Amino acid sequence: MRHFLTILGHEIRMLLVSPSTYIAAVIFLAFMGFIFSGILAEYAAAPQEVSPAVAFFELFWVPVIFIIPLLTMKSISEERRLGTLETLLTTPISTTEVVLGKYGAAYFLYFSLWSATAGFFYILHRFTHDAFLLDTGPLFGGYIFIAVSGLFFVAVGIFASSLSRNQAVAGILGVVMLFGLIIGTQLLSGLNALDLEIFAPLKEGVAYAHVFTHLDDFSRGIIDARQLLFYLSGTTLTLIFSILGLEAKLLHS
Amino acid sequence: MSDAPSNAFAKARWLRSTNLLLQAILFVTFFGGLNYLALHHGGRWDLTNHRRHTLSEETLAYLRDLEQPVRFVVTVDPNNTNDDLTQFHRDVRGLLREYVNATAGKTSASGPAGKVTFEELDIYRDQRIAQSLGIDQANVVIALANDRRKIITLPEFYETKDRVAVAFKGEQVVTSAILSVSSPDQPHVYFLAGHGEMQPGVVDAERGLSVFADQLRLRNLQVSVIDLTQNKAVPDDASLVVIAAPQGRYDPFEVELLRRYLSDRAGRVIILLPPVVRHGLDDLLYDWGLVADDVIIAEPDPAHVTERNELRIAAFWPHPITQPLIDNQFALYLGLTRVVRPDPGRPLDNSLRATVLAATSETAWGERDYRQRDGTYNPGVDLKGLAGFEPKNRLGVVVSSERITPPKNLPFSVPGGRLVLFGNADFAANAHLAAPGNLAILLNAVEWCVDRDVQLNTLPRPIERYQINLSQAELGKLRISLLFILPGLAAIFGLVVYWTRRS
Repeated sequence: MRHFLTILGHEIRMLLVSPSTYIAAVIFLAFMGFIFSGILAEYAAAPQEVSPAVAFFELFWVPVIFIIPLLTMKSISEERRLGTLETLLTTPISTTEVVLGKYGAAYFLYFSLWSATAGFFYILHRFTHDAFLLDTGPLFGGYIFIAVSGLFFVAVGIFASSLSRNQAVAGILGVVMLFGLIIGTQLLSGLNALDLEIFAPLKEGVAYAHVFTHLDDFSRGIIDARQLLFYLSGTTLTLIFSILGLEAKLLHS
Repeated sequence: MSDAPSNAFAKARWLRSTNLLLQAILFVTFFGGLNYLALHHGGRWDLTNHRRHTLSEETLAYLRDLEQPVRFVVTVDPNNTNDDLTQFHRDVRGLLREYVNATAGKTSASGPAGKVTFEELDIYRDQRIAQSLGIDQANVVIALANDRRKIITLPEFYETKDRVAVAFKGEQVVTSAILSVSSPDQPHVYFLAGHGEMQPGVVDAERGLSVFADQLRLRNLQVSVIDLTQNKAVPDDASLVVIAAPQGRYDPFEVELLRRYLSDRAGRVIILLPPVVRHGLDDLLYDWGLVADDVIIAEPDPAHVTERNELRIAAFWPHPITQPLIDNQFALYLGLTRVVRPDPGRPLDNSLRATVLAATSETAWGERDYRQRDGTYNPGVDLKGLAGFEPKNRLGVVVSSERITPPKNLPFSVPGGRLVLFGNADFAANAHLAAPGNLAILLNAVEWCVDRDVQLNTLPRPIERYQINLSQAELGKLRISLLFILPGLAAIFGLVVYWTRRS
């Protein structure tokens, strides 16, 4: 793993000098600002029983489903399409280092974008001077959730990118996978068919993977080892699949 | 010969592919197993101040000893547009998840012993399931264990002040429900018969108690009828005896049976005693420090009388029976009512605690000559609330009496018998039980009598409300700041980088 940091550094540098990164950041922050100002309008109209942070993070899935595929779809598929991946692998760099380097850079950008949204809460505090509105439990819990779940979601995006040479296809695959993971578990958990005894293990599995339940716990200030393990093991497994899948494709190309 | 190297490469390639596939299967199995183990042995940490989402040690101790699986069904529509219901749904889900997690690792050879599970049910969409579970109420939480059930309504979960929820006391309520349905003991309520009393099996609107009896059964209580003139004894398994509006006098031996049941067996009795009727229970009431005056309450103030000429009772004293009515500002609606009160001439007995639970307004009086009903207060004849007695200037309509027995040389006391006396009976009839106050006080009286009013040592969680207090202009500035400051900074960074690289 000697070359991992080299690749990571290179990828981050490339991201920071790329205009598309800043375009993505402007769009992301404008969109999140629009959502946050809409939420605050409700808090101005009537008292609410959850803090603004809880309401803000409840909509995490909207940017996740669209931003992550945008950030990751190019990472491996573009290298494969241009044939630069094979060239890169002729050097003493392993597939694992390439995948992890690109994953690390994508995660760095994803988390940086979310970290910037902390500025919204700072602006809110500057205007209201009310520390109560910045309830630290949901605020920190929400960002921990974003950090932990982001590990898995970005890995899914990288995996989608490893499946196709075509960026657009990789992007669509990423959207579908993340939609299935976040919204699919939500829809499945509401299915009555799962109440049948025969589906009890499946129901338990769906409840375990239910992302909105995880968010609910984190935003209440509860850290559950099972949820951490779900995201960490999901990340590891998805990255392993990306590496193995890429190796298999290179082997047969 | 020329094909041999390419064959060797093909073989190596497929061997490597198979190896990759096996690795993939191995990793899936490993992580699947790891997560399966974690599902049953995970830890949970509450990072909030005062660990406000963590179950109390008392609750955890109960859950550790829980033998029966308990299933909670929540019938709140998560997509409703009512803010209170949305909050209720959120609070209850979060709380029940803590119970599910606390019992997640419990297993036994016979099945999920002692596990708490919860599910959500839309009773309108899933009518078949709702019917099979015997659930017909929306926006409630139902605890089920074997064939026992307990329904918990939204107001029970919250402490309210001026009709606004100020604290969530979910843990108290849910743990109490678990204890109630998982307990093998099913309290047995006997309704007295033989003197024209109102009966639990009768569906008549004015003289039937079938709605009340159904509510008792829903709360895991057995309901039976007994005629003491035939049985000659209060059954051994009686947890509570209900005397509802007798039409004639009880024989002295029946009264003696009730007296012994109350005193010797720490029995529990609820008496619904309408005015006018000669009942023969005066001696029994005297023993328990109570008196039921032969008067009818007259209320001149229209603010305390309904369109149907019913008394509207809204003065309650804090007690487990009346607390939910106080919290929710419920009122009692009573037809003809007699005055019931602690007997001023009762024997001095420190172990006896007689309390007025509900009382009239200060303007009401007890009309003694009710057959004439001249509609005026006659001083010295009619009954009026006295300033020197509690409650001041008011007349009682519901009273309770409880005997506390201090055991010899021991620092604690043991509850003896309990008796609740209502100066009215028609409020419990099918036609009048729809009023939330009427139903609540009756069910609370039953729960108090059968010791179901478990007061767990858990603090209610205060409900916090968040609001932004800004003027329209300030709010507009805030919105513009949110929409432009951060995206603008990102755009400036991007332009700087672009300009630097260009030059």
